[in-house]
Amino acid sequence: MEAITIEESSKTPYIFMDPEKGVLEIKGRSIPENSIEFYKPLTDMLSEYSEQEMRKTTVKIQLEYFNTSSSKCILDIFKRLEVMYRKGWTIEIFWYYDEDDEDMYESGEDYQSILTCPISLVEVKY
Amino acid sequence: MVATTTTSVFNLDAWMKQKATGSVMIEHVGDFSSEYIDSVLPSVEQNLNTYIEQDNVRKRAFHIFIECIQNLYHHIESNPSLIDSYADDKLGAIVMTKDELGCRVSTGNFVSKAKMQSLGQRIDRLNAMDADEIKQLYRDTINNRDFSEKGGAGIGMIDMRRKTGNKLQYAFYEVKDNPELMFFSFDVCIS
Repeated sequence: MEAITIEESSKTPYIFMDPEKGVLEIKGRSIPENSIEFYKPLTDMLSEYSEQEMRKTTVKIQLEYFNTSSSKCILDIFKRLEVMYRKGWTIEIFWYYDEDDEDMYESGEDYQSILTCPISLVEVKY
Repeated sequence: MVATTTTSVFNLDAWMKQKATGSVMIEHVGDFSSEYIDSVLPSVEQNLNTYIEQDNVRKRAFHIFIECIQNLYHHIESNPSLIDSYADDKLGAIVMTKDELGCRVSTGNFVSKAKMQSLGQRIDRLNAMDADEIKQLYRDTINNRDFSEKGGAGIGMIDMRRKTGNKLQYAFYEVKDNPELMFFSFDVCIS
């Protein structure tokens, strides 16, 4: 499997996934009108990735804004990772939030409450 | 009083004028295409930077604006040709203002009369919930509900009620010579 990079736009985040290194990064704004269509290449890749040999996987999410349809797509990504976690994969998820962004912190807590896979909330100071 | 239903003849220009009080950050009547939304976001952000000092309030206001304008993108269905000057096939309206009480996003669109009751009841239920109930509803909904046919996640209003902590305000207006349609007026305040 080859790495994918999706460049950031005014409404969509930068996405980088390297299956060989077990790294996934999502950064920026996620406010597209059609989130399902936007995230499909990534969810398709995760489906294929989950059939590969188990490896440590590190996921870093750092969003400035995300709309409610993106929040559902991100949960879908996390649920795919959770299935892998339950099969014995080592999955590390880091959810970054700006120090005064209470809403982004609460979103991280929402995902923690829904998932059994551990999510670390990481404050970003500036 | 949060909800109202009026039988007076609806006038879109009068509605816009009524909503556009204080400092107006954006006002638009027409279609809400993806391209239009792209084009308007930079100026809305610039206005928010001008009118709102607190970072967290400004960020929350932008978030609510995005939810509101994308609700219109997903849900406006028709133009009942009330006013000749609005020729778009689909017709919606948005106004975002700032005054001493805070920031307000008002949206308007035409809905079928059949949807009026369920839409109103849904908002009433959200308004009656406390913060913990809303948080739990948000988590249950995001976890269990699938996307709608229109691509919306069905959690926009829950999210707006939760993030603002304020009751969602709405009204339905009857449309002249069109007994099947109502104009749905929806307001969110960010304070």
